[in-house]
Amino acid sequence: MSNSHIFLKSGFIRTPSQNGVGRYVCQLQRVVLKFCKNNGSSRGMREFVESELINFAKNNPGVVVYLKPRRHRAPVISAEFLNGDKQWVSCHNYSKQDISKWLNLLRTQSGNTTGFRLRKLQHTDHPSIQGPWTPYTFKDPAENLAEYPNTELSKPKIQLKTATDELLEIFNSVQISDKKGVE
Amino acid sequence: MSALKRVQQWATFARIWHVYDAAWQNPFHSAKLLKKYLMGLHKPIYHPLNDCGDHVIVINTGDIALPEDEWKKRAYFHHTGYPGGASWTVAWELHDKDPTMILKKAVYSSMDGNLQRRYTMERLHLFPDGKVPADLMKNVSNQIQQIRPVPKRLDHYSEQERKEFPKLIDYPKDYILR
Amino acid sequence: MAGALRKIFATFARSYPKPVAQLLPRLYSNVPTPYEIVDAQEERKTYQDVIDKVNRQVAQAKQGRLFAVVHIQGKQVKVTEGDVFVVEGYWPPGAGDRISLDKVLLVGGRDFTLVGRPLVQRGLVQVEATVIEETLSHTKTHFKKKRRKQYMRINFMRVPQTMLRVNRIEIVGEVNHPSDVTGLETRVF
Repeated sequence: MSNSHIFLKSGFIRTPSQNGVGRYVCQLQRVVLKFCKNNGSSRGMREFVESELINFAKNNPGVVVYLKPRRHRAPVISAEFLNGDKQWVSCHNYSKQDISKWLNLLRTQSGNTTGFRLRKLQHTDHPSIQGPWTPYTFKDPAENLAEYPNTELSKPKIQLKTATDELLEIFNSVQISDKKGVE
Repeated sequence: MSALKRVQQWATFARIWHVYDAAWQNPFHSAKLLKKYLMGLHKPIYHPLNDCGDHVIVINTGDIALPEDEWKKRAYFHHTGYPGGASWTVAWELHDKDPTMILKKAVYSSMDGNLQRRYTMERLHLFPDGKVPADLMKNVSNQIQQIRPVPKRLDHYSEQERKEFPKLIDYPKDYILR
Repeated sequence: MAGALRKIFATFARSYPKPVAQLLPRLYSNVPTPYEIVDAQEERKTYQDVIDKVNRQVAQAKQGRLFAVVHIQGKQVKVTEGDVFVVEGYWPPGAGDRISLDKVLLVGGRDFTLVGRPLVQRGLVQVEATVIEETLSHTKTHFKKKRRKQYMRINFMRVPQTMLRVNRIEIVGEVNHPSDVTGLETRVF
């Protein structure tokens, strides 16, 4: 019936080698920018290389940046991560801001997550600290000795005031006021 | 799974037997309550694929209380499958034939109509009076609270309570009691 | 089809005036529970005992692993030290930032739980997390159709996801002993 499992892989959160427990390590290993020297589709890429690329390289010393000017080819950013994943982003007719944004995204990623659905948005190694729930966690231990069926335990805990109860209350209040009147 | 984890799994997913007294209760409201226990919705580990439903023993189904004139007006449809096999049975007639049927049908129709329903209904045990087989009653470890408080019968009040109860009205002086 | 017909015939189109919810008293309300203090001295002694026990355990560092329920991006997450969770949507903190999560609703250990109303005392608990990743989710499709009206729209979207690793959950200071000066938690100098 549904076939999304064929093109949409799913799994749980994966963090490469306990990233963040001690120190945060940037997971991007190298980035290759391929562009054409005079084709119009590479204009944004060329502008980016001229203006913002050096800042990017300076701010991320752990990332190796390669430039590959290839004539008559579409502009592309090819990224490789520490876990071996490869990601390929086409920059055809992108502006330099777009390219800068995509490059920043690749820098903060830890692998190729396109087409990867996270089944759960959380991961713990210690799901229970106060002990997993059992049917007896919130039960009164006095019920261990109860005989079933039990009339006392069967009564509803929340009981609304019945007409009889209200009548008795009125009667008692009248009696008290009578007594006060007599006094 | 290690031995410790196996024991933890057994403790968390243990199947509990509950007992519910249906005397003086509305079967349709009771059905809404009982279906939760049968399906396992009262547990934080609930999932439809988890098979976490509990057993429920219902006693005194013969003493249920239907609202207003439902006893006369509610009709249950049955078709034998053969031509001309359609029949409509009124609630009081059905109750005379089998005192557990009304509550059983109420619980069945309160559930979603999926394939799990018949299997979930297998865990419901109905008895018209308080007589339950001993080996079933031995498993019970919880009593489900009733929804409607059971009124106290007049002949269950003690002499002292009757004397102390405030008297609102009295017969006129010239009234002759038979 | 047969089921629907059966339902129509069986219930003689009667509407009952009082549903179950009205028969039972409301089990939730914004009105605080009415209470009556019978013996103030004994009450104070009991709760002070509990608070002292908690403080003693924390001072001796015997509380063990703590968990906290933290309110973040409009959602609540139950976290312990060392676990990873994802925040969806636009969220400013970038990769590598170390953040303190201040909206703590509940903190608990093996022997005690501190329940906030709605938040725990500011400065009592410190929950710190590091942002380890910022990606986009898989392509989600928002499909709209109005039948027989020639209206069909499909919107492909990828939601930004930020992954956080919780580094530390600690109870700093004493329960029921707020510091005399407040408002200095975010001061840099």
